[in-house]
Amino acid sequence: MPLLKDGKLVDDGWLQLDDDAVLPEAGAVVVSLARWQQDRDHLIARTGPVGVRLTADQTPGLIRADLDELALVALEFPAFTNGRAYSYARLLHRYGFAGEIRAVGNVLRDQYWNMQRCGFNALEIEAGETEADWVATVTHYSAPYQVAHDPALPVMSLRERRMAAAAQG
Amino acid sequence: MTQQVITANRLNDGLVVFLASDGCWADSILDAQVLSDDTELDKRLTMANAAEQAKIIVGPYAIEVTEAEDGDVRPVRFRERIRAYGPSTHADFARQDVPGHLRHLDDVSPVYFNGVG
Amino acid sequence: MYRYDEFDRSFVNERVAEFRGQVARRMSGEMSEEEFRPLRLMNGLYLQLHAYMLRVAIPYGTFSSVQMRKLAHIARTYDRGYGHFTTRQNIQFNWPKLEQVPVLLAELADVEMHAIQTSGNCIRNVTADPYAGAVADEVDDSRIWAEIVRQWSTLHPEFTYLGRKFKIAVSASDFDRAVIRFHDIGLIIKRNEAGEIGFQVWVGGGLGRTPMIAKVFNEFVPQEDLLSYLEAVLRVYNMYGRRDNKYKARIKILVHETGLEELRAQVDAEWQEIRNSSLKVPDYEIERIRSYFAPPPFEKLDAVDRGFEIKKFENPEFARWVNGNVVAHRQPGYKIVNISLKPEGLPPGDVTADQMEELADLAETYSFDEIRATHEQNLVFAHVKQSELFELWQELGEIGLAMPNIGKVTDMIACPGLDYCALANARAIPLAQRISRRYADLDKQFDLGELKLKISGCINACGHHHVGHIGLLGVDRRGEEYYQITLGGSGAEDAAIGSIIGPAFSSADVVDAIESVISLYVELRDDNERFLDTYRRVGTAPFKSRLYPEKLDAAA
Ligand code: SF4
Repeated sequence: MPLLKDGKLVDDGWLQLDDDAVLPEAGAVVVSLARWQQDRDHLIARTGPVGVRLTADQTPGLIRADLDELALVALEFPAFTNGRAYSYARLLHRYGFAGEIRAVGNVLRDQYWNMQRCGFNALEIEAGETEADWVATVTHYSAPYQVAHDPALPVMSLRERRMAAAAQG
Repeated sequence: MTQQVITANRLNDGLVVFLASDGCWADSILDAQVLSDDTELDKRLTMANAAEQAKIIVGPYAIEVTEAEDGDVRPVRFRERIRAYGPSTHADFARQDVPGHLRHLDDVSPVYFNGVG
Repeated sequence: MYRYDEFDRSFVNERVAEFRGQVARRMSGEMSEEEFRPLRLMNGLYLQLHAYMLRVAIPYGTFSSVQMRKLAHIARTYDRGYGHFTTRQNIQFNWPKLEQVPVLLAELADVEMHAIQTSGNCIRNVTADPYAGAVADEVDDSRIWAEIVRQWSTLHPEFTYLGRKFKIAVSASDFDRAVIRFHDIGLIIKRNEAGEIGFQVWVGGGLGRTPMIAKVFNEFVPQEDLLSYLEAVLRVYNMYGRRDNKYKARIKILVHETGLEELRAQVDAEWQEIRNSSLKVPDYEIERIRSYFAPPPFEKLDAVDRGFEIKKFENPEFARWVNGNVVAHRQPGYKIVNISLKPEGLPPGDVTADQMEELADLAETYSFDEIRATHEQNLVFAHVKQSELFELWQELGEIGLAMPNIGKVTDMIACPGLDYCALANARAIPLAQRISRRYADLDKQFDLGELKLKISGCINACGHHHVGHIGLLGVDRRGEEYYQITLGGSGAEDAAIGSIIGPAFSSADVVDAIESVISLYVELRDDNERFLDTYRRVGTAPFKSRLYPEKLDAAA
């Protein structure tokens, strides 16, 4: 599946590991929460980074204590209309997680801006869509109305700046 | 099998349409093809689904109708009668393209906004 | 009134451009109906029984003559010459074409209007007290805060794909004119002992299949913390609200299943994490928005106007209209005028393009160019000089909008029902029309006093039947229209959910059944007792035995 990372189509260096698949000696792997909980020590001991994939019913609170061991958290959208993962991404940032936060599942470009604003930095997308298709969807708006995770200044702050500039004359 | 016609809403303007025997989507239920044979119905539903794929209509389905001797086609379910004839609330706004609008909603006397009628 | 600045203007235009692209992708087949549906809903566009339907927001119910004229133009150009005011300070157009909607939205954007978040599983158009800025009993102008919430909630990246729709209303008075207790979040503006503004926060109210009265989650959230508190509630809801069953997905069910104390604790814990973040509403922004809602340039007038008193004395019809539709204003010499959109026998809330234009002119002449929409599907001119009431009344009469029935039995709420709505079981508007004709006699209506009758075409309860003093719910019995009667509901400060009185009545019988209920009330009432109070005093039993005498016989 093509991977869009920080706005660029890149090769996905991560292996999605099924729960019953043999764990490779090295290399980056993403496992389910169940496998992580079961094989935790083993996964940490091997070489190569580990990621955990959470379903929409699994909150990041479940892996909060493990975040130092993880380089990636994949958050699942079982349907694009199920928006729980937006909040999960924000919580991961608040927990201080600095690794990759990846959107997986029913990931569509009309929600890209939302994902970006909530702190997703990688998305698994459908084959056939271009980088430009995706990037176009996040440039629709010159400024958002509210603060979120991204650094975009909301309208309120832009107003304040403008007022301050006007006051300085 | 009961008598059925296939209906949908047209994609570009959303209006109620019916599948006619020439394969076109007609505005009036009077132009709908009445089907009374299962295999024929399946065939026509496949056609309707293709029309959905072709961006002509949205959400096709079959409805039960009765057909009178004079060719008058009338949906059995009340909801489908409203769909076929337009809102029963004021005659000004019922479907002008369906000559017999309101004709089966006997308990409602049409109301005209501008005091006419 | 709030006016867009360059930021609001570009945002709304950008929204139109984005939607234009989405419509083009839908029309070209690049996007399926399934993918398009949530996107169009978030722009207020439904596919209903007969056609597309577009729901346009009237944020916190306030709009100008220029905007009303644009609505008239839209009704004429893109629709069949009319619009329908809803129960949530929106107006709906029933016949727009998909291909024309982007142009229509661009026209709306020209007058600072939009259809953003009038549908979909997101935070909906925020509503407020229609008397805001005019009535004496308010703590603050609720529109200021509704506007702050509007901005925060508009395309909120985290809360756009919630489990279900999320409705917020703001009020500022002990009298509830905004159905606060039946919103997902209801905010009542309060002042603490230090004179500071804050919010009493009600969470988990709603109608629909499982009606519930909201619970107070917080007695006083200080004004600067409003957005962090809302964000905490929404985040907890987004994470834990059910997604497995659409009828159990509203926050009211989460409150019910988690328990008030537990859920409140979760919200508080989240709130403490984000309370001191950049979600604090800065004073300059509050003041900036407040300045838009400054009182209009009222004249200094005497509280009593002799000419007005004489006119009332001379003209009993005018006096009746004043008595029924006009309420006190906080500025001496001014009044708040309710304009009933329930003329005899016409669909509640419907207004023709011609009427819209006339109303726009009248608002310009008589009410500082400002109109309000109410949740009861009526309009309000908030600031009318009492010395001009007579002229206004005459002019309203000429366009058929001087019906003096506010709060009376024929001032019904009715949802679009089976005449328009794809989800309906039964029609609501024609039933309203029949009741309206049955009770056409105004003397009778005034004798009955306040009586709130509300009709929904299905259990989704858009017609608020649960909170009608008399509620009517359309049900489908083997393809025929039936109506279930509930009694004793109220959407006001004395909030209550009506009780189902017994088996449903056929369409042919239901108007008689309502008449039986009302005549029993007349027999049982004490002096000046409202229907609701009589019902509360005597309970359901007398009404049951009047409506279902045969059951009583069987039991005896
Ligand atoms: S209550 Fe039902 S019939 Fe009425 S508008 Fe809502 S969904 Fe439609």
